[in-house]
Amino acid sequence: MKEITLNVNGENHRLEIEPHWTLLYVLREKLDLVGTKEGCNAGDCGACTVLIDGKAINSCLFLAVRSEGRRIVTIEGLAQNGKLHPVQQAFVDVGAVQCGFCTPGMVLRAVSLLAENPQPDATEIRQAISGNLCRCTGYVKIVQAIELAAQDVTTGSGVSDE
Amino acid sequence: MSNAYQVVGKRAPLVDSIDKVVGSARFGADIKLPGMLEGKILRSPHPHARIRYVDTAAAEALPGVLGVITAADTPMVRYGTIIPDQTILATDKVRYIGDEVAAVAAVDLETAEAALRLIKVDYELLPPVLDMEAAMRDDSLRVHNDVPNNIADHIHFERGDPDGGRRDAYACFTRRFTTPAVHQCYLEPNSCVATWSENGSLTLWAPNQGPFAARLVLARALVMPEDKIRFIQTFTGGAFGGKTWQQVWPITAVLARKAGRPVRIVLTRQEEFEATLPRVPMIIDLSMGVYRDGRLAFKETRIMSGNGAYSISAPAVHYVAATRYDSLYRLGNIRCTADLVYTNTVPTGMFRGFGNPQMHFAGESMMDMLAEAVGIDPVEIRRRNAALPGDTSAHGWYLGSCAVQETIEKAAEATDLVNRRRGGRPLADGKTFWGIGMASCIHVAGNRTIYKPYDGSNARVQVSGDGSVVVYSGEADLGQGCRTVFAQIAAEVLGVPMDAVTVAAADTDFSPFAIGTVASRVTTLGGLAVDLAAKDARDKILAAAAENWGVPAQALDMENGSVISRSHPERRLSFPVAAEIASDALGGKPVIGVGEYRTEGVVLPDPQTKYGNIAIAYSFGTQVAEVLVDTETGRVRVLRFVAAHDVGRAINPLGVEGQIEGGIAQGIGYALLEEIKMDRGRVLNPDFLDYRIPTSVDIPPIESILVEPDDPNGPFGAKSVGETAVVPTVAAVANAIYDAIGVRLTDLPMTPDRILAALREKRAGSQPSSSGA
Amino acid sequence: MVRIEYVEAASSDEVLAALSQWGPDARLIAGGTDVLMDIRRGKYTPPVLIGITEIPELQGIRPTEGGLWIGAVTTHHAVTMSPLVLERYPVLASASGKVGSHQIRNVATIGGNICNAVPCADTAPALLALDAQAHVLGPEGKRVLPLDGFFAGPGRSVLARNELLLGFVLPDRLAGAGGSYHKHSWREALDIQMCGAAVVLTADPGDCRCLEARIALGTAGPVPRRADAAEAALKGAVVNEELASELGRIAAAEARPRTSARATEEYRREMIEVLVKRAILDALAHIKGARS
Repeated sequence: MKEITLNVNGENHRLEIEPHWTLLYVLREKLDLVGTKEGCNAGDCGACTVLIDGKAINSCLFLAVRSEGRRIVTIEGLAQNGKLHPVQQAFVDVGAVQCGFCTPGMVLRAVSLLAENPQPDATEIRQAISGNLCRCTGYVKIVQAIELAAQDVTTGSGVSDE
Repeated sequence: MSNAYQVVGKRAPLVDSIDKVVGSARFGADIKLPGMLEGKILRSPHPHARIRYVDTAAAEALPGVLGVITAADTPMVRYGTIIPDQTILATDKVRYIGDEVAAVAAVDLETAEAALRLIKVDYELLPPVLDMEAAMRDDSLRVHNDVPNNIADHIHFERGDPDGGRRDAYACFTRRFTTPAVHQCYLEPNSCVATWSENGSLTLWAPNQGPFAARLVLARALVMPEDKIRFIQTFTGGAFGGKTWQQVWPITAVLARKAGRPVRIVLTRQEEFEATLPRVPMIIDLSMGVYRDGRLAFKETRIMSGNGAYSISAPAVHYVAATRYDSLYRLGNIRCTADLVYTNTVPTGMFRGFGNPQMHFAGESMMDMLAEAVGIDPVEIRRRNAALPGDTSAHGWYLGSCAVQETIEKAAEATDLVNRRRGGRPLADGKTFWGIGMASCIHVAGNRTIYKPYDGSNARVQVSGDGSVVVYSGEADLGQGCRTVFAQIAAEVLGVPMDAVTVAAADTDFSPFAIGTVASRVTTLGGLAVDLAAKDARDKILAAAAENWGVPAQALDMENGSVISRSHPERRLSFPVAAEIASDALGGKPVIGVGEYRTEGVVLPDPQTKYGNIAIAYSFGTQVAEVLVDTETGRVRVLRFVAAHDVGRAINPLGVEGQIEGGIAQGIGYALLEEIKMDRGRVLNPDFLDYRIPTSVDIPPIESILVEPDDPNGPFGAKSVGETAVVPTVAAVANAIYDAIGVRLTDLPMTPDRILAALREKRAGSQPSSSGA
Repeated sequence: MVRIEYVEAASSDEVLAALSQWGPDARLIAGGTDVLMDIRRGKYTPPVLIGITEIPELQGIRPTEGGLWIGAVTTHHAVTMSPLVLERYPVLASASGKVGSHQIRNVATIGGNICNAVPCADTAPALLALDAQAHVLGPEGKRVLPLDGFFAGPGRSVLARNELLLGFVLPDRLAGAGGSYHKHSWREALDIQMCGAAVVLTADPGDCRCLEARIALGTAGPVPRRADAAEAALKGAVVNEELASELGRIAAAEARPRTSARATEEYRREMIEVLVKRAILDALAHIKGARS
């Protein structure tokens, strides 16, 4: 066991962890942040995507011990004061959510995309989310949602730029 | 279509989508109970073996292990959703690689995994039954000792005069089409949390498609009264047919009882591929013929369906493949022989479309071949044969509404298909070929055969004194959006805004009985029950208001969220006030509306001939695919899909589009990418790296065209779409490939290497030509 | 049960010290995307993981003597975004951009991709075609070796147990050369290479006569390798479509792909022919584009 401090969604958590525990495991099982999903545990689906210092990563392939000293944002940390992030709101409004299991990872990837490229076109969006599998939507409305959110997100308002 | 409704027909985001975008929706693996243990399942590494003994002593002795179970800890009765051929854990034999042998509950996952490695199983290896044709031919080797020739189910029927049709046909073809086992690949793996109370009742949480149907089988497997089992549906991260039955449910239950603590088991993605219930693979030998005028002369089919090691729902899937396609067209001369065959491979089951995409791949490919043989285009041959509203098909199916003609025309028109066909001519670079292809389809809205004792649905609508509304239904939302549709129906009937309505999750302790989300039955049958329950609540509120006003109940009506007097429309009560009056009249209780919908004019088909009307409504659709084929690499890129679907009235057009888009995406995967590859019973690609489902860059823009005839039976005229959307997709892609390169692919998936091989055969002149009989 | 220590090294000397302290069981971990999967699949259970991503010496993309330095722990994302790489060695940016997914590329490193030494490593053909020199630190000091010869077999490099890859230097002489990486896979994204080909060539801008040429193949044998016969046929020849097709055939003939569940030997060989041809034509277009 090793003691570390994780900064998740702006809060510091002191935790005893095993060095081989993944960030996904720690978020879900030790911090009860179960909004981060495990779809494959192999980096092949993107359901476990979180932001580390604003960058989207697969938390199933990232050791918790290496997350110390970095800012971690999970899906639970995106809405501010009860107000949905523009990406979340767009996903709801255009019907980009069906079963919802890929949604947290997809939303976070979209947030990181808009921080890097505030006005992506449909092709860039499709490329950007190609590491996030969705089996319900055929991606059509997800792409629309990100296009819509891009109109709403003014540069710098993204959580990843906080 | 004109829409006089306030809520029905409006584009409604899913009522639970906010829970999903903020991450608060709890799916199966997100359920945690105090003292909960983690469970793991020991699975057979052999496709076929006799179990001599299982030694669990070392596993039990490992610190942190609180329970180990083998078959001896289970009731060891045989059960099944259709054919009772499985047990909770393997008793005498293991029948596929992945078959469940034992399970362990421990304080954490790593301890449970370590304990699994300590269980010793002594296997006597048996020769595996792997090939369907060999399995039927050779009776010396059986998967189940009491099933001769490994045939789990046999279907044979005839309609009209198939031999006469063949004789009189101007052109006919015979081809073998093969379709592999493919996985549903819902993003959420199966899981279960189980706990027992002191009085011997069991509570389970699991993602699933129908907790009542699940409980029925669980009660049989566990040999305990149904009402001692409470099955709670968690948020369900996609299912597509794959969460109607899962072995992990009874295993978790038995393990929790043995350990004396709550237990959670979450399947890994590898277990999903190796030991859940993929689509039934089929070998379809199809002959079809047409008369000179392009009308269908006959259809003759021989099907072999892969059951895998246990039956689950494959017998029903197999029946659908044998029958459903035939009612798409006016087709009278039919013969079908079909066998469902056991092999020592993963048991197969339901997957969106339920046998129908397999046969549509064959049939709709054949339609294009026949069109070419008589010199008409793909649109015309479908138009000439398409079923019409009011038809009773060769199988006795009554098509109360049917707009397949319109879907064919609209899809053709939107794509200008007839004029844009390439007929195998390359683009300017000489290596890239563009093509366009069409396929039509029929599906059901409900299926009488899915649960023999009962065909209907139930709902309760509770209106509190403050005007808030809760809908209870035992039908399950898997992400397809039935909670939203139910909220729309209740809101429409009661004249309240949608956000006044909550739809409770399915829970066998509180929800009214339902069969579940299978057979495309939930919008129609479930929706009709909600409609009736809401009307019952509305009538009770109107009666209370009438009494309050001292007028007869029939003098009042509900309009735009108010109770109004028919004769004096200016006299009105807002819904919350009316609800309060009604609740006060009951002494402060909420008003409860109850609705039961039972199908009429629907029968269980004859067990031998399969004749009989199985559904209250039938949905139709036509899809057009545009593809680009790189003849150097064999790679097919789908550029565009246009889908015209007859869905009856779309209660939620946003949801309908979502279903069409998702169905087509799955169909594209089925057409081009997906296959569970096996070698001697072992799955070679049990992960998302080597079992490839389409990513965002593999799916083209998809345009939906909703064709909305008012169905006489469906709620507000609605029918189904979720399954329908995947049914014609594969054939549309295959027909587009043919248009591009003049090569007819008959084996799925249509991978680049197969495309190149087919092109080589064509160049060598060995591809069967598509000229006439 | 898995019991692993994790040590974050602050310098390359600390890495060497840890390697000598823990011996053959220690495992270096950079991005970790491959290491964690190997552990999960039970390929090995090292008692100690030595984290190397915080070491300044292993980081960065910067001009250095004779070429461009790319530190071993540079992520693929950083490679694809680097103006220096994009300007001078776009073939490498293209290859890094085709690794896994965006999420993987944010974590996985170019050094990890090479040290993992699988035949389908996306960056290997590009680095081979760019004549990358690997800078390695061991107890005896630094050594520089061409990437050619770095791979010893599937999953094996020539690095000794107690050595550390510091980074690569890409030579100035190939900066701005025509280059192209073609990857073939079943799916359009999020996939591993079924086979791949990278070409880097310099040519006389007047008559398109090839001056220097390097062609490298992925998943065309037990290790990423150069297509020697095709390279020999390319050097000094006038590059055109006909030649590109011929070189594709030569490369396919010298390739040694194998049949696996992912693809057959025959199909891979056919694709090598197509990919080499297309990569050469792309590189040629690059040269012609630069001229005009």
